[in-house]
Amino acid sequence: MKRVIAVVAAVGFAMLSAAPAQAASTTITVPFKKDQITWFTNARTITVAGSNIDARVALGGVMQLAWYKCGDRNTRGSFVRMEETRKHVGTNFRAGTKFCLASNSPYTEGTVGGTLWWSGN
Amino acid sequence: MERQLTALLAVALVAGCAAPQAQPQLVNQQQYAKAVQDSSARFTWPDGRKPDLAVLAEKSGPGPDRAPAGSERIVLEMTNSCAWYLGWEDARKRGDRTAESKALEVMDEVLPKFSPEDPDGQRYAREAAAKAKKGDGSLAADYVANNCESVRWK
Repeated sequence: MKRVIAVVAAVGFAMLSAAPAQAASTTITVPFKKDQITWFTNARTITVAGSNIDARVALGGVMQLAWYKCGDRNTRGSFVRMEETRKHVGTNFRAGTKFCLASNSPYTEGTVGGTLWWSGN
Repeated sequence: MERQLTALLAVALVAGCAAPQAQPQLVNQQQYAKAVQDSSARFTWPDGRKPDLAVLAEKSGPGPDRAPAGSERIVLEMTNSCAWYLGWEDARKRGDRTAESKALEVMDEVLPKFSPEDPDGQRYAREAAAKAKKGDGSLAADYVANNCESVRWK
């Protein structure tokens, strides 16, 4: 059990301290609530036509992500359950599109870290 | 089931690890709508391109859910960018050189400073202004087509 805690603590620290690896990806720390959508308004811009939005999280199977148009939450994708492997949150976006993310969970509330990819992916 | 329990335990632990990072304060729809109204005065808007703030708050706000406090800033910055890109095109169409020049000035000097947390967006705004100065409105038009369709202008 001590080993598990140490590993999780290390992962948590890495998520808080890591810098973006490149222009079109970044580490993310995502709070989420049970059966309630949290709408984040940290906008990101698609600069390459046809790009996908992908994400993976350190601990899969609990939190769901969706993209939405920052200025209109009714224009959005479906919630996708995030896993420890990279998954599409949305596909084939047009250049110039600004998108935001929303989270929720059918199970619990908490915070999870991971990686987000967008332009050129 | 075992995997789910393990994941839940791990998430709880991560939440504990992340405790020093303050959770964002969340606002409801009513608080968000007031913030949109209050913050809009910080922006200048071209003639004929002032947004209906009630509609903007209704479409961009959290509805029955919650949004981080301060999130109206990005929505207003995006809407203001829409207004000036459209205002520039409006001025070009009616041959109003003064309004066109003013819009170009805002596109060049103000819009690229919005959303420092989105460097791709700032670069896009710089490139849109540079192209517009040469008479090429393609990036401005793409921005409008992809981000402004739900804004109602007054």
